[in-house]
Amino acid sequence: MNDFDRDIERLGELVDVEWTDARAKRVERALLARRERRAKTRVIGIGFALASAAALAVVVQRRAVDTHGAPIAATSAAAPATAPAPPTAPPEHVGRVELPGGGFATLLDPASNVTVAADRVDVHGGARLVSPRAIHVHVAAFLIDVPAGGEVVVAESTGGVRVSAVHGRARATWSAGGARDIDEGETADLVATTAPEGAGSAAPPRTKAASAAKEASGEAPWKTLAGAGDYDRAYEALREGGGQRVADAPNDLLLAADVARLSHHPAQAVAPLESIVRDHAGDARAPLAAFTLGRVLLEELARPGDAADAFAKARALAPSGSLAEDALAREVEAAARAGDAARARQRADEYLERYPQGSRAATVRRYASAP
Amino acid sequence: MPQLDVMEDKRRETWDERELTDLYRQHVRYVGAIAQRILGQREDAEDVVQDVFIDAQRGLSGIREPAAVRGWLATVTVRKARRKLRIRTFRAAFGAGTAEPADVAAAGASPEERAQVTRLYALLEHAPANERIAWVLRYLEGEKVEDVATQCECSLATAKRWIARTHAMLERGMR
Repeated sequence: MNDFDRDIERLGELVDVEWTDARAKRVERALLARRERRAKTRVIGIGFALASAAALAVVVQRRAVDTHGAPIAATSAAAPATAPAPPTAPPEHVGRVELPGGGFATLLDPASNVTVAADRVDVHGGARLVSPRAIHVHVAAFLIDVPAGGEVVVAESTGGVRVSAVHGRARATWSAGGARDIDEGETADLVATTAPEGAGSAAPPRTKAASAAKEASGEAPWKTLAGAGDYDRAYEALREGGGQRVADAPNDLLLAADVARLSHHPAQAVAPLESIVRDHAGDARAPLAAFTLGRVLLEELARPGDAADAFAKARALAPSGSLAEDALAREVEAAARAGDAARARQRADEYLERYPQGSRAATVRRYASAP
Repeated sequence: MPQLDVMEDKRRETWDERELTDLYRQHVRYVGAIAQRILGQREDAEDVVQDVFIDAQRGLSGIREPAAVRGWLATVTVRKARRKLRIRTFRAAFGAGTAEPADVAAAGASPEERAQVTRLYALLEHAPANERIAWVLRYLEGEKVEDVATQCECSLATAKRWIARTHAMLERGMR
Protein backbone atom coordinates (compact mmCIF):
# COMPACT_ATOMS: atom_id res chain seq x y z
CA MET A 1 0.00 0.00 0.00
CA ASN A 2 1.52 3.32 -1.07
CA ASP A 3 0.84 6.85 0.21
CA PHE A 4 -1.93 7.43 -2.28
CA ASP A 5 -3.70 4.22 -1.26
CA ARG A 6 -3.47 5.31 2.35
CA ASP A 7 -4.89 8.75 1.42
CA ILE A 8 -7.79 7.10 -0.35
CA GLU A 9 -8.43 4.82 2.59
CA ARG A 10 -8.54 7.87 4.84
CA LEU A 11 -10.86 9.78 2.49
CA GLY A 12 -13.12 6.73 2.25
CA GLU A 13 -13.61 6.91 5.99
CA LEU A 14 -14.54 10.58 5.67
CA VAL A 15 -17.44 9.93 3.30
CA ASP A 16 -20.61 10.44 5.26
CA VAL A 17 -23.01 7.60 4.58
CA GLU A 18 -25.03 7.93 7.73
CA TRP A 19 -28.75 7.47 7.33
CA THR A 20 -30.49 9.10 10.21
CA ASP A 21 -33.86 7.83 11.33
CA ALA A 22 -35.46 11.04 10.05
CA ARG A 23 -33.92 10.57 6.63
CA ALA A 24 -34.91 6.90 6.47
CA LYS A 25 -38.47 7.83 7.45
CA ARG A 26 -38.64 10.59 4.86
CA VAL A 27 -37.51 8.27 2.08
CA GLU A 28 -39.88 5.59 3.35
CA ARG A 29 -42.79 8.02 3.07
CA ALA A 30 -41.75 8.90 -0.50
CA LEU A 31 -41.44 5.21 -1.28
CA LEU A 32 -44.92 4.47 0.01
CA ALA A 33 -46.32 7.38 -1.99
CA ARG A 34 -44.67 6.01 -5.13
CA ARG A 35 -46.07 2.55 -4.53
CA GLU A 36 -49.51 4.08 -4.09
CA ARG A 37 -49.16 6.07 -7.30
CA ARG A 38 -48.05 2.97 -9.18
CA ALA A 39 -51.04 1.07 -7.90
CA LYS A 40 -53.37 3.87 -8.98
CA THR A 41 -51.68 4.11 -12.38
CA ARG A 42 -52.17 0.38 -12.82
CA VAL A 43 -55.89 0.73 -12.08
CA ILE A 44 -56.19 3.67 -14.46
CA GLY A 45 -54.26 1.72 -17.09
CA ILE A 46 -56.61 -1.22 -16.80
CA GLY A 47 -59.58 1.16 -16.99
CA PHE A 48 -58.12 2.85 -20.04
CA ALA A 49 -57.47 -0.50 -21.73
CA LEU A 50 -61.06 -1.58 -21.07
CA ALA A 51 -62.40 1.75 -22.38
CA SER A 52 -60.20 1.47 -25.48
CA ALA A 53 -61.41 -2.03 -26.09
CA ALA A 54 -65.02 -0.87 -25.75
CA ALA A 55 -64.41 2.06 -28.13
CA LEU A 56 -62.81 -0.29 -30.63
CA ALA A 57 -65.76 -2.63 -30.37
CA VAL A 58 -68.13 0.29 -31.10
CA VAL A 59 -66.09 1.30 -34.16
CA VAL A 60 -65.98 -2.24 -35.47
CA GLN A 61 -69.68 -2.62 -34.89
CA ARG A 62 -70.52 0.67 -36.61
CA ARG A 63 -68.30 -0.13 -39.54
CA ALA A 64 -70.11 -3.40 -39.84
CA VAL A 65 -73.41 -1.52 -39.80
CA ASP A 66 -72.06 0.96 -42.38
CA THR A 67 -71.18 -1.90 -44.70
CA HIS A 68 -74.83 -2.70 -44.65
CA GLY A 69 -76.00 0.81 -45.57
CA ALA A 70 -75.90 2.87 -42.36
CA PRO A 71 -74.73 6.54 -42.52
CA ILE A 72 -70.94 6.76 -42.85
CA ALA A 73 -70.78 9.71 -40.44
CA ALA A 74 -71.56 7.39 -37.59
CA THR A 75 -68.03 5.97 -37.67
CA SER A 76 -66.53 9.29 -36.69
CA ALA A 77 -68.31 9.22 -33.35
CA ALA A 78 -65.70 6.86 -31.98
CA ALA A 79 -62.77 9.03 -33.06
CA PRO A 80 -60.89 10.36 -30.06
CA ALA A 81 -61.51 13.98 -29.22
CA THR A 82 -58.56 16.23 -29.85
CA ALA A 83 -57.32 17.47 -26.48
CA PRO A 84 -55.75 20.90 -26.28
CA ALA A 85 -51.98 20.65 -26.13
CA PRO A 86 -50.67 21.12 -22.58
CA PRO A 87 -48.46 24.12 -22.04
CA THR A 88 -44.83 23.44 -22.72
CA ALA A 89 -43.10 23.12 -19.40
CA PRO A 90 -39.42 23.53 -18.72
CA PRO A 91 -37.49 20.41 -17.88
CA GLU A 92 -38.27 19.26 -14.37
CA HIS A 93 -34.73 19.63 -13.18
CA VAL A 94 -34.95 23.40 -13.27
CA GLY A 95 -37.97 23.26 -11.00
CA ARG A 96 -41.05 25.35 -11.35
CA VAL A 97 -43.86 27.06 -9.56
CA GLU A 98 -47.18 25.95 -10.97
CA LEU A 99 -49.64 28.67 -11.86
CA PRO A 100 -53.38 28.27 -12.26
CA GLY A 101 -54.45 27.77 -15.84
CA GLY A 102 -51.41 25.73 -16.75
CA GLY A 103 -48.85 28.52 -16.51
CA PHE A 104 -45.62 28.22 -14.61
CA ALA A 105 -42.70 30.22 -13.35
CA THR A 106 -39.25 28.78 -13.73
CA LEU A 107 -37.23 28.21 -10.61
CA LEU A 108 -33.74 29.32 -11.37
CA ASP A 109 -32.36 27.04 -8.74
CA PRO A 110 -34.36 24.47 -6.83
CA ALA A 111 -31.88 24.71 -3.99
CA SER A 112 -32.22 28.45 -3.57
CA ASN A 113 -35.04 30.91 -3.48
CA VAL A 114 -34.57 32.47 -6.85
CA THR A 115 -37.37 32.28 -9.36
CA VAL A 116 -37.22 33.72 -12.81
CA ALA A 117 -40.56 34.05 -14.46
CA ALA A 118 -39.39 36.66 -16.96
CA ASP A 119 -41.81 36.97 -19.86
CA ARG A 120 -43.17 33.50 -19.33
CA VAL A 121 -45.68 34.39 -16.67
CA ASP A 122 -48.94 34.97 -18.42
CA VAL A 123 -49.90 38.16 -16.70
CA HIS A 124 -52.81 38.95 -18.97
CA GLY A 125 -55.35 37.17 -16.80
CA GLY A 126 -53.56 37.66 -13.50
CA ALA A 127 -51.08 35.09 -12.27
CA ARG A 128 -51.40 33.94 -8.68
CA LEU A 129 -48.10 32.90 -7.15
CA VAL A 130 -48.17 30.92 -3.96
CA SER A 131 -44.91 29.58 -2.69
CA PRO A 132 -43.83 27.81 0.48
CA ARG A 133 -40.41 29.41 -0.04
CA ALA A 134 -39.32 32.99 -0.44
CA ILE A 135 -39.16 33.61 -4.16
CA HIS A 136 -38.11 36.40 -6.47
CA VAL A 137 -40.25 36.79 -9.55
CA HIS A 138 -39.07 38.69 -12.56
CA VAL A 139 -41.97 40.14 -14.55
CA ALA A 140 -41.24 42.52 -17.39
CA ALA A 141 -39.07 45.29 -15.91
CA PHE A 142 -39.93 44.41 -12.31
CA LEU A 143 -38.43 42.09 -9.76
CA ILE A 144 -40.97 41.12 -7.10
CA ASP A 145 -39.81 39.53 -3.86
CA VAL A 146 -42.42 37.27 -2.25
CA PRO A 147 -41.74 36.09 1.30
CA ALA A 148 -41.96 32.44 2.36
CA GLY A 149 -45.59 31.44 2.55
CA GLY A 150 -46.54 34.58 0.69
CA GLU A 151 -49.10 34.89 -2.04
CA VAL A 152 -49.27 37.55 -4.71
CA VAL A 153 -51.34 38.13 -7.80
CA VAL A 154 -49.54 39.74 -10.69
CA ALA A 155 -51.60 41.16 -13.55
CA GLU A 156 -50.96 43.45 -16.41
CA SER A 157 -52.53 46.84 -16.00
CA THR A 158 -52.72 49.85 -18.22
CA GLY A 159 -49.22 51.10 -18.64
CA GLY A 160 -47.61 48.68 -16.22
CA VAL A 161 -48.02 45.77 -13.85
CA ARG A 162 -50.49 45.39 -10.98
CA VAL A 163 -49.30 43.48 -7.93
CA SER A 164 -51.63 42.44 -5.12
CA ALA A 165 -50.14 41.05 -1.94
CA VAL A 166 -52.71 38.50 -0.72
CA HIS A 167 -50.56 37.10 2.08
CA GLY A 168 -47.37 38.63 3.36
CA ARG A 169 -45.63 41.79 2.27
CA ALA A 170 -44.15 41.81 -1.21
CA ARG A 171 -41.47 44.14 -2.47
CA ALA A 172 -41.08 45.32 -6.02
CA THR A 173 -37.90 46.77 -7.48
CA TRP A 174 -37.31 47.90 -11.00
CA SER A 175 -34.51 48.56 -13.40
CA ALA A 176 -34.02 52.26 -12.76
CA GLY A 177 -33.39 51.55 -9.11
CA GLY A 178 -36.86 52.18 -7.74
CA ALA A 179 -38.46 50.07 -5.06
CA ARG A 180 -41.81 49.77 -3.33
CA ASP A 181 -43.20 47.63 -0.53
CA ILE A 182 -46.67 46.21 -1.04
CA ASP A 183 -48.32 45.41 2.27
CA GLU A 184 -50.59 42.46 2.81
CA GLY A 185 -54.00 43.22 1.33
CA GLU A 186 -52.65 46.10 -0.73
CA THR A 187 -52.67 46.37 -4.51
CA ALA A 188 -50.08 48.48 -6.26
CA ASP A 189 -50.02 49.60 -9.86
CA LEU A 190 -46.43 49.81 -10.95
CA VAL A 191 -46.12 52.10 -13.91
CA ALA A 192 -43.33 53.97 -15.57
CA THR A 193 -44.53 57.44 -14.69
CA THR A 194 -46.07 56.97 -11.24
CA ALA A 195 -43.43 55.00 -9.43
CA PRO A 196 -44.59 55.43 -5.83
CA GLU A 197 -41.28 56.14 -4.15
CA GLY A 198 -40.10 58.30 -6.99
CA ALA A 199 -36.71 56.70 -6.95
CA GLY A 200 -36.61 56.86 -10.69
CA SER A 201 -38.83 55.84 -13.53
CA ALA A 202 -39.12 52.19 -14.35
CA ALA A 203 -38.23 50.91 -17.75
CA PRO A 204 -41.45 50.78 -19.78
CA PRO A 205 -43.13 47.52 -18.81
CA ARG A 206 -44.82 45.37 -21.39
CA THR A 207 -48.46 46.34 -21.64
CA LYS A 208 -51.29 44.84 -23.65
CA ALA A 209 -51.12 47.76 -26.02
CA ALA A 210 -47.39 47.41 -26.30
CA SER A 211 -47.72 43.67 -26.86
CA ALA A 212 -50.27 44.24 -29.58
CA ALA A 213 -48.03 46.82 -31.18
CA LYS A 214 -45.15 44.38 -30.98
CA GLU A 215 -47.17 41.67 -32.61
CA ALA A 216 -48.28 44.06 -35.32
CA SER A 217 -44.75 45.17 -35.95
CA GLY A 218 -43.59 41.55 -35.88
CA GLU A 219 -41.97 40.51 -32.61
CA ALA A 220 -38.86 38.45 -33.16
CA PRO A 221 -39.96 34.81 -33.59
CA TRP A 222 -37.49 33.57 -30.97
CA LYS A 223 -39.12 35.78 -28.36
CA THR A 224 -42.61 34.63 -29.27
CA LEU A 225 -41.48 30.99 -29.02
CA ALA A 226 -39.67 31.64 -25.75
CA GLY A 227 -42.78 33.33 -24.40
CA ALA A 228 -44.71 30.15 -25.19
CA GLY A 229 -42.11 28.08 -23.37
CA ASP A 230 -40.85 26.41 -26.54
CA TYR A 231 -37.16 26.94 -25.82
CA ASP A 232 -35.83 24.42 -28.31
CA ARG A 233 -37.50 26.14 -31.24
CA ALA A 234 -36.73 29.55 -29.78
CA TYR A 235 -33.05 28.59 -29.73
CA GLU A 236 -33.21 27.42 -33.33
CA ALA A 237 -34.87 30.69 -34.34
CA LEU A 238 -32.24 32.62 -32.44
CA ARG A 239 -29.42 30.65 -34.03
CA GLU A 240 -30.85 31.05 -37.54
CA GLY A 241 -31.00 34.79 -37.01
CA GLY A 242 -27.39 34.79 -35.88
CA GLY A 243 -28.46 36.39 -32.62
CA GLN A 244 -29.04 39.64 -34.49
CA ARG A 245 -32.49 40.12 -33.04
CA VAL A 246 -31.31 40.16 -29.46
CA ALA A 247 -31.36 43.78 -28.39
CA ASP A 248 -28.57 44.99 -26.16
CA ALA A 249 -31.04 45.40 -23.30
CA PRO A 250 -31.21 43.39 -20.05
CA ASN A 251 -34.69 42.05 -20.83
CA ASP A 252 -33.68 40.59 -24.17
CA LEU A 253 -30.31 39.40 -22.94
CA LEU A 254 -31.81 37.61 -19.92
CA LEU A 255 -34.45 36.00 -22.11
CA ALA A 256 -31.81 34.92 -24.64
CA ALA A 257 -29.77 33.40 -21.81
CA ASP A 258 -32.84 31.54 -20.55
CA VAL A 259 -33.51 30.23 -24.04
CA ALA A 260 -29.95 28.93 -24.28
CA ARG A 261 -30.00 27.38 -20.81
CA LEU A 262 -33.39 25.75 -21.10
CA SER A 263 -32.76 24.42 -24.59
CA HIS A 264 -29.63 22.74 -23.20
CA HIS A 265 -27.03 25.07 -24.70
CA PRO A 266 -25.49 26.45 -21.52
CA ALA A 267 -22.30 27.62 -23.20
CA GLN A 268 -24.41 30.00 -25.30
CA ALA A 269 -25.97 31.47 -22.16
CA VAL A 270 -22.63 32.83 -20.99
CA ALA A 271 -22.27 35.69 -23.50
CA PRO A 272 -25.64 37.40 -22.88
CA LEU A 273 -25.23 37.05 -19.11
CA GLU A 274 -21.70 38.47 -19.22
CA SER A 275 -23.00 41.28 -21.39
CA ILE A 276 -25.56 42.27 -18.74
CA VAL A 277 -22.98 42.11 -15.95
CA ARG A 278 -20.42 44.06 -17.95
CA ASP A 279 -22.51 46.56 -19.93
CA HIS A 280 -25.56 46.99 -17.72
CA ALA A 281 -24.04 46.75 -14.29
CA GLY A 282 -26.33 49.51 -13.03
CA ASP A 283 -29.47 47.59 -13.98
CA ALA A 284 -31.47 45.95 -11.19
CA ARG A 285 -31.19 42.62 -12.99
CA ALA A 286 -27.40 42.64 -13.20
CA PRO A 287 -26.96 40.78 -9.88
CA LEU A 288 -29.45 38.17 -11.05
CA ALA A 289 -27.52 37.82 -14.32
CA ALA A 290 -24.24 37.38 -12.44
CA PHE A 291 -25.81 34.80 -10.14
CA THR A 292 -27.26 32.88 -13.08
CA LEU A 293 -23.88 33.04 -14.79
CA GLY A 294 -22.30 31.51 -11.70
CA ARG A 295 -24.76 28.65 -11.71
CA VAL A 296 -24.26 27.93 -15.40
CA LEU A 297 -20.47 27.96 -15.00
CA LEU A 298 -20.55 25.81 -11.88
CA GLU A 299 -23.14 23.23 -12.67
CA GLU A 300 -23.29 23.02 -16.40
CA LEU A 301 -19.88 24.01 -17.68
CA ALA A 302 -17.69 22.63 -14.88
CA ARG A 303 -15.81 25.91 -14.41
CA PRO A 304 -15.98 26.31 -10.63
CA GLY A 305 -13.21 28.92 -10.44
CA ASP A 306 -15.03 31.23 -12.86
CA ALA A 307 -18.28 30.44 -11.11
CA ALA A 308 -16.87 31.59 -7.78
CA ASP A 309 -15.92 34.90 -9.42
CA ALA A 310 -19.41 35.28 -10.90
CA PHE A 311 -21.03 34.70 -7.50
CA ALA A 312 -18.66 37.24 -5.99
CA LYS A 313 -19.69 39.68 -8.71
CA ALA A 314 -23.38 39.07 -7.97
CA ARG A 315 -22.74 40.06 -4.39
CA ALA A 316 -20.58 43.03 -5.28
CA LEU A 317 -23.32 44.40 -7.53
CA ALA A 318 -25.90 44.27 -4.74
CA PRO A 319 -24.25 43.71 -1.34
CA SER A 320 -27.57 44.09 0.47
CA GLY A 321 -29.70 42.60 -2.27
CA SER A 322 -31.91 39.56 -1.96
CA LEU A 323 -29.38 37.41 -3.79
CA ALA A 324 -26.38 38.32 -1.65
CA GLU A 325 -26.76 35.50 0.87
CA ASP A 326 -27.29 32.82 -1.74
CA ALA A 327 -24.42 34.16 -3.82
CA LEU A 328 -22.01 34.04 -0.90
CA ALA A 329 -22.99 30.45 -0.06
CA ARG A 330 -22.58 29.49 -3.69
CA GLU A 331 -19.17 31.14 -3.81
CA VAL A 332 -18.12 28.91 -0.91
CA GLU A 333 -19.26 25.81 -2.77
CA ALA A 334 -17.69 26.88 -6.05
CA ALA A 335 -14.35 27.68 -4.40
CA ALA A 336 -14.36 24.30 -2.64
CA ARG A 337 -15.15 22.57 -5.88
CA ALA A 338 -12.30 24.41 -7.59
CA GLY A 339 -9.98 23.06 -4.92
CA ASP A 340 -9.44 26.52 -3.43
CA ALA A 341 -9.85 25.53 0.20
CA ALA A 342 -8.50 28.83 1.53
CA ARG A 343 -11.06 30.90 -0.36
CA ALA A 344 -13.85 28.51 0.57
CA ARG A 345 -12.91 28.77 4.24
CA GLN A 346 -12.62 32.57 4.12
CA ARG A 347 -16.00 32.99 2.45
CA ALA A 348 -17.60 30.42 4.72
CA ASP A 349 -16.41 32.39 7.76
CA GLU A 350 -17.80 35.55 6.21
CA TYR A 351 -21.14 33.86 5.53
CA LEU A 352 -21.49 32.63 9.09
CA GLU A 353 -20.60 36.03 10.44
CA ARG A 354 -23.16 37.81 8.26
CA TYR A 355 -25.89 35.18 8.27
CA PRO A 356 -25.49 33.02 11.37
CA GLN A 357 -29.07 31.82 10.99
CA GLY A 358 -28.93 31.73 7.19
CA SER A 359 -30.73 29.06 5.22
CA ARG A 360 -27.40 27.65 4.03
CA ALA A 361 -25.53 27.95 7.30
CA ALA A 362 -25.52 24.20 7.92
CA THR A 363 -23.89 23.49 4.57
CA VAL A 364 -21.50 26.40 4.71
CA ARG A 365 -20.37 25.57 8.25
CA ARG A 366 -18.64 22.48 6.93
CA TYR A 367 -16.16 24.66 5.09
CA ALA A 368 -15.59 27.17 7.87
CA SER A 369 -12.52 27.44 10.10
CA ALA A 370 -14.44 26.28 13.13
CA PRO A 371 -17.24 23.93 12.02
CA MET B 1 -38.07 -11.72 10.77
CA PRO B 2 -41.27 -11.87 8.74
CA GLN B 3 -39.61 -11.35 5.37
CA LEU B 4 -37.48 -14.43 5.86
CA ASP B 5 -40.55 -16.56 6.48
CA VAL B 6 -41.95 -15.33 3.23
CA MET B 7 -38.81 -16.21 1.33
CA GLU B 8 -38.92 -19.70 2.67
CA ASP B 9 -42.49 -20.09 1.55
CA LYS B 10 -41.98 -21.26 -2.00
CA ARG B 11 -45.63 -20.79 -2.84
CA ARG B 12 -45.39 -17.02 -2.36
CA GLU B 13 -44.82 -14.94 -5.45
CA THR B 14 -44.93 -11.45 -3.98
CA TRP B 15 -44.39 -9.64 -0.71
CA ASP B 16 -47.07 -7.73 1.08
CA GLU B 17 -46.76 -4.12 2.27
CA ARG B 18 -45.79 -5.01 5.83
CA GLU B 19 -43.05 -7.36 4.72
CA LEU B 20 -41.69 -4.82 2.29
CA THR B 21 -41.66 -2.20 5.04
CA ASP B 22 -39.70 -4.55 7.29
CA LEU B 23 -37.30 -5.27 4.46
CA TYR B 24 -36.81 -1.55 3.89
CA ARG B 25 -36.15 -0.78 7.54
CA GLN B 26 -33.68 -3.61 7.84
CA HIS B 27 -31.64 -2.79 4.76
CA VAL B 28 -32.11 0.91 4.01
CA ARG B 29 -28.82 1.93 5.60
CA TYR B 30 -26.88 -0.71 3.71
CA VAL B 31 -28.45 0.19 0.36
CA GLY B 32 -28.24 3.91 1.10
CA ALA B 33 -24.55 3.73 1.98
CA ILE B 34 -23.66 1.96 -1.27
CA ALA B 35 -25.72 4.41 -3.32
CA GLN B 36 -24.27 7.44 -1.58
CA ARG B 37 -20.67 6.31 -1.91
CA ILE B 38 -21.13 5.60 -5.60
CA LEU B 39 -23.09 8.73 -6.47
CA GLY B 40 -21.63 11.24 -4.04
CA GLN B 41 -24.98 13.00 -3.85
CA ARG B 42 -27.59 12.65 -1.20
CA GLU B 43 -30.64 13.30 -3.38
CA ASP B 44 -29.57 10.89 -6.10
CA ALA B 45 -28.80 8.29 -3.46
CA GLU B 46 -32.30 8.67 -2.04
CA ASP B 47 -33.79 8.24 -5.51
CA VAL B 48 -31.81 5.05 -5.97
CA VAL B 49 -32.92 3.72 -2.58
CA GLN B 50 -36.52 4.28 -3.60
CA ASP B 51 -35.97 2.58 -6.97
CA VAL B 52 -34.35 -0.44 -5.35
CA PHE B 53 -37.14 -1.02 -2.88
CA ILE B 54 -39.79 -0.41 -5.55
CA ASP B 55 -38.22 -3.21 -7.57
CA ALA B 56 -37.93 -5.42 -4.51
CA GLN B 57 -41.64 -6.17 -4.54
CA ARG B 58 -41.30 -8.11 -7.78
CA GLY B 59 -37.58 -8.86 -7.92
CA LEU B 60 -37.32 -10.70 -4.64
CA SER B 61 -40.12 -13.10 -5.40
CA GLY B 62 -37.70 -15.49 -7.06
CA ILE B 63 -35.22 -15.52 -4.18
CA ARG B 64 -35.41 -18.46 -1.84
CA GLU B 65 -32.29 -18.07 0.29
CA PRO B 66 -32.47 -15.36 2.99
CA ALA B 67 -28.74 -14.79 2.70
CA ALA B 68 -29.18 -13.90 -0.96
CA VAL B 69 -31.36 -10.88 -0.19
CA ARG B 70 -28.47 -8.65 0.75
CA GLY B 71 -26.54 -9.61 -2.37
CA TRP B 72 -29.59 -9.03 -4.52
CA LEU B 73 -30.09 -5.59 -3.01
CA ALA B 74 -26.42 -4.69 -3.59
CA THR B 75 -26.53 -5.79 -7.22
CA VAL B 76 -29.75 -3.89 -7.91
CA THR B 77 -28.38 -0.83 -6.11
CA VAL B 78 -25.32 -0.89 -8.36
CA ARG B 79 -27.54 -1.31 -11.40
CA LYS B 80 -29.74 1.63 -10.43
CA ALA B 81 -26.76 3.80 -9.50
CA ARG B 82 -25.16 3.05 -12.87
CA ARG B 83 -28.33 4.16 -14.60
CA LYS B 84 -28.40 7.32 -12.49
CA LEU B 85 -24.79 8.10 -13.38
CA ARG B 86 -25.50 7.60 -17.06
CA ILE B 87 -28.53 9.86 -16.94
CA ARG B 88 -26.43 12.43 -15.13
CA THR B 89 -23.73 12.21 -17.79
CA PHE B 90 -26.32 12.41 -20.54
CA ARG B 91 -27.93 15.45 -19.00
CA ALA B 92 -24.60 17.13 -18.43
CA ALA B 93 -23.70 16.53 -22.09
CA PHE B 94 -26.78 18.49 -23.05
CA GLY B 95 -26.11 21.16 -20.51
CA ALA B 96 -28.95 20.13 -18.25
CA GLY B 97 -26.94 18.94 -15.29
CA THR B 98 -28.17 20.14 -11.97
CA ALA B 99 -25.58 18.38 -9.92
CA GLU B 100 -24.91 19.99 -6.61
CA PRO B 101 -21.25 19.78 -5.72
CA ALA B 102 -20.57 16.55 -3.91
CA ASP B 103 -20.87 17.27 -0.25
CA VAL B 104 -20.72 13.89 1.37
CA ALA B 105 -17.88 14.44 3.80
CA ALA B 106 -18.71 13.45 7.36
CA ALA B 107 -19.55 16.18 9.84
CA GLY B 108 -16.24 15.87 11.67
CA ALA B 109 -14.08 16.40 8.57
CA SER B 110 -11.83 19.46 8.54
CA PRO B 111 -12.26 22.01 5.73
CA GLU B 112 -9.15 20.62 4.01
CA GLU B 113 -10.43 17.06 4.26
CA ARG B 114 -13.80 18.20 3.03
CA ALA B 115 -12.17 19.86 0.04
CA GLN B 116 -10.27 16.62 -0.68
CA VAL B 117 -13.44 14.55 -0.62
CA THR B 118 -15.09 17.09 -2.90
CA ARG B 119 -12.10 16.91 -5.22
CA LEU B 120 -12.21 13.11 -5.22
CA TYR B 121 -15.84 13.08 -6.31
CA ALA B 122 -15.22 15.83 -8.86
CA LEU B 123 -12.56 13.57 -10.44
CA LEU B 124 -14.83 10.54 -10.29
CA GLU B 125 -17.32 12.48 -12.40
CA HIS B 126 -14.86 12.04 -15.28
CA ALA B 127 -14.69 8.26 -14.98
CA PRO B 128 -17.07 6.05 -17.01
CA ALA B 129 -19.93 4.79 -14.86
CA ASN B 130 -18.82 1.15 -14.70
CA GLU B 131 -15.24 2.03 -13.83
CA ARG B 132 -16.31 4.51 -11.21
CA ILE B 133 -18.64 2.02 -9.56
CA ALA B 134 -16.07 -0.77 -9.53
CA TRP B 135 -13.48 1.52 -7.95
CA VAL B 136 -15.89 2.88 -5.32
CA LEU B 137 -16.97 -0.62 -4.34
CA ARG B 138 -13.36 -1.74 -4.03
CA TYR B 139 -11.76 1.26 -2.35
CA LEU B 140 -14.54 3.13 -0.57
CA GLU B 141 -16.91 0.27 0.15
CA GLY B 142 -14.05 -2.13 0.88
CA GLU B 143 -15.47 -5.03 -1.15
CA LYS B 144 -13.30 -7.90 -2.38
CA VAL B 145 -12.60 -7.80 -6.10
CA GLU B 146 -14.62 -10.99 -6.54
CA ASP B 147 -17.64 -9.33 -4.92
CA VAL B 148 -17.12 -6.22 -7.02
CA ALA B 149 -17.29 -8.38 -10.13
CA THR B 150 -20.51 -10.01 -8.89
CA GLN B 151 -22.16 -6.72 -8.03
CA CYS B 152 -21.02 -5.13 -11.28
CA GLU B 153 -22.15 -8.21 -13.19
CA CYS B 154 -18.85 -8.50 -15.02
CA SER B 155 -15.88 -10.89 -15.13
CA LEU B 156 -13.15 -10.74 -12.52
CA ALA B 157 -10.63 -9.56 -15.14
CA THR B 158 -12.94 -6.76 -16.25
CA ALA B 159 -13.52 -5.64 -12.67
CA LYS B 160 -9.77 -5.54 -12.06
CA ARG B 161 -9.21 -3.56 -15.23
CA TRP B 162 -11.92 -1.01 -14.36
CA ILE B 163 -10.61 -0.57 -10.84
CA ALA B 164 -7.01 -0.14 -12.00
CA ARG B 165 -7.93 2.40 -14.66
CA THR B 166 -9.92 4.59 -12.27
CA HIS B 167 -7.27 4.28 -9.58
CA ALA B 168 -4.58 5.49 -11.98
CA MET B 169 -6.77 8.39 -13.12
CA LEU B 170 -7.42 9.45 -9.53
CA GLU B 171 -3.77 9.15 -8.58
CA ARG B 172 -2.86 11.52 -11.40
CA GLY B 173 -5.69 13.90 -10.57
CA MET B 174 -5.20 14.03 -6.82
CA ARG B 175 -1.48 14.77 -7.00
